[in-house]
Amino acid sequence: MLSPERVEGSKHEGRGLTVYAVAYLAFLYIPVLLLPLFSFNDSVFIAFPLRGFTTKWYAAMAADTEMHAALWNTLKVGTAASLLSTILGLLAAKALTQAAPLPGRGFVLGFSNLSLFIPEIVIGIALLILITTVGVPLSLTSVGIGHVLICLPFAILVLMSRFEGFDTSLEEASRDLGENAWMTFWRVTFPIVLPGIIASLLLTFIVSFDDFMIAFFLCGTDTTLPVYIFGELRFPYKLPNVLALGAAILIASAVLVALAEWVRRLGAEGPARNRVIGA
Amino acid sequence: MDRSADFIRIDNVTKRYGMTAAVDGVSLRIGRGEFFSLLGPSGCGKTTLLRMIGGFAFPDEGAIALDGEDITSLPPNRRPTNMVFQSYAIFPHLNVRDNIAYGLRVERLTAAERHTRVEEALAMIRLSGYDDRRAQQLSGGERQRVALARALVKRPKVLLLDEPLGALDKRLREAMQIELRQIQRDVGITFIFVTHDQEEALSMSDRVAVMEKGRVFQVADPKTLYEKPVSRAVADFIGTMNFFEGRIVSISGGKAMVETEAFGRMEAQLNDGGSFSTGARVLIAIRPEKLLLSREQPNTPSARGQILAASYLGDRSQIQVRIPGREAPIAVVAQTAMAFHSGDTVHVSWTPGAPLLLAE
Repeated sequence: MLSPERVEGSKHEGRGLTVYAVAYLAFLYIPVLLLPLFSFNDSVFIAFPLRGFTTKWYAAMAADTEMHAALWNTLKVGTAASLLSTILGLLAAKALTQAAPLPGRGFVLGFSNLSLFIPEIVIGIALLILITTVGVPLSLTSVGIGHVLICLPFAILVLMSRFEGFDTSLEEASRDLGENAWMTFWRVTFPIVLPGIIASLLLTFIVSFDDFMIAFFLCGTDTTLPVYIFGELRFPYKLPNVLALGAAILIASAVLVALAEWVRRLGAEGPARNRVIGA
Repeated sequence: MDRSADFIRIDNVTKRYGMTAAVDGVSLRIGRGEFFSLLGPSGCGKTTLLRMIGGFAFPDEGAIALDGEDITSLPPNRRPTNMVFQSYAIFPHLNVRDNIAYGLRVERLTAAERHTRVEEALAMIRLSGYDDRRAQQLSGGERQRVALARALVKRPKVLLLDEPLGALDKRLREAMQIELRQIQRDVGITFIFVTHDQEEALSMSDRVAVMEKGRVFQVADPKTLYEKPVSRAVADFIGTMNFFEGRIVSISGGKAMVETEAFGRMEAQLNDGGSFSTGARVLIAIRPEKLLLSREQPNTPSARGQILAASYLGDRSQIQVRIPGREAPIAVVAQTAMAFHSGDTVHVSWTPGAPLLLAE
């Protein structure tokens, strides 16, 4: 049992933590919240005091076909890069976590993660040299290739953590019960690692969506959204459009994260229901 | 029941991992409907042998045949064997019903047949009404039973069990031992049971193979294994055994007279397998419960010693006796009628016919 003093002490500690948490969240989110705030401000200049409420920047954004093209490009590249890197990551994670250690496991793991630590500008230039040497035209394809490269370590890390807790005797049990390797993957392995696959898809999509450096070097004339935004910053009068776009992206990613969290909880809670009865 | 003795034929099977042989030239015959145990300490190769029968590992040498068919290199999904895994391997994303029905999908049954089989299986393991539970909601014993039902619903020719009771607490384990044996009698399927628990192996099995370092030392029914072990290793592994070194003085009529340092001359039975000659150095083995303690010197051969420790276990007492000129104390199990205390001087003798002759 806790003594009264101890309870007081912990209450005090709790208050300190709350202050810290609030300050931390403020530091994280106030700059981000300025985006939607100024996107409704009736002025080209990003400065206080606010001039009045307007939605014209959103209207301008909706009419900006160049921006739409860039957004569409980004979504295409993001989808392709996240799917491809997750599939490759799945194969790699499976091989790297199997019971009989892969020869050169440490080597493979080290090298697959190395691109996390190489500055993207270096990767961007290196890829530019390679891709132009090989003769692939600079396009969304070259951006996609670059994005798979930077997304793959994320996919491998996320999926490996899912596979590490995976009891391989589950796959053996499936084989034992008459299924072949292919059906065993779909009936046992896939459903069990599915939350990891979803996490990997989301994370790699965001890495691709977010990337400026690689796309800047490799996109040629197929501008992606970050490259487009960077270009627009040269024209001050277009800045509010970018703010409106930023706010829209903010809401979209909030919805996406909420959705991912909901899916994750669905996966985690399903088996946990009625746990008390089973205990 | 057809007890054809070579329902399963394991011929000279060897499995190496790197330089070490996990299973080293093992040959076994297992009969149809038999409850057969592979017993040995961890790392003795019993699980590797079981996995080769199940198709999860493949022998480097030798062959395995089941019911006349060579299955040595068949994958697990094409063998008429099913396994109960040590971890149970219950699919966490499926409920009890779907776990049990998992293997029936490939069997081309009608929905009604499938339903009947699952219901039968649930009834057999006394978990009717548990259909919708998931693995996380089951206790260890319930998981074990689901794993058993999931394997048996496939109606395999052989059921393989890899230390299935190891994770259960003592009381539950004892209850499951009886239940498992009962189920085996009811379904009449051959069970191959891997365990490191000698009591479990002795109490459940028709026959037991004692393994160590990848080799089979002895295959026998539990009574023979306990009373007539063929080697020191087997005798040591099964229960407690006292060993006395000696030299054969004479052999006649299935018995040998052995000169020992501890007891002088002892008459010992010759083991079936061993061949001994006069003058050979041998071991005499005697179970603790075959030794007798008395305060007065008996008229049979005996040795005088002092009690080192005595522990009272209710129905019996375990007593350690030190005799002069011998380092290891002798283990004796005595009926509790007579009270012995540490420090007492006693005479140790033995039941006639108890000493067993083993090669040194």
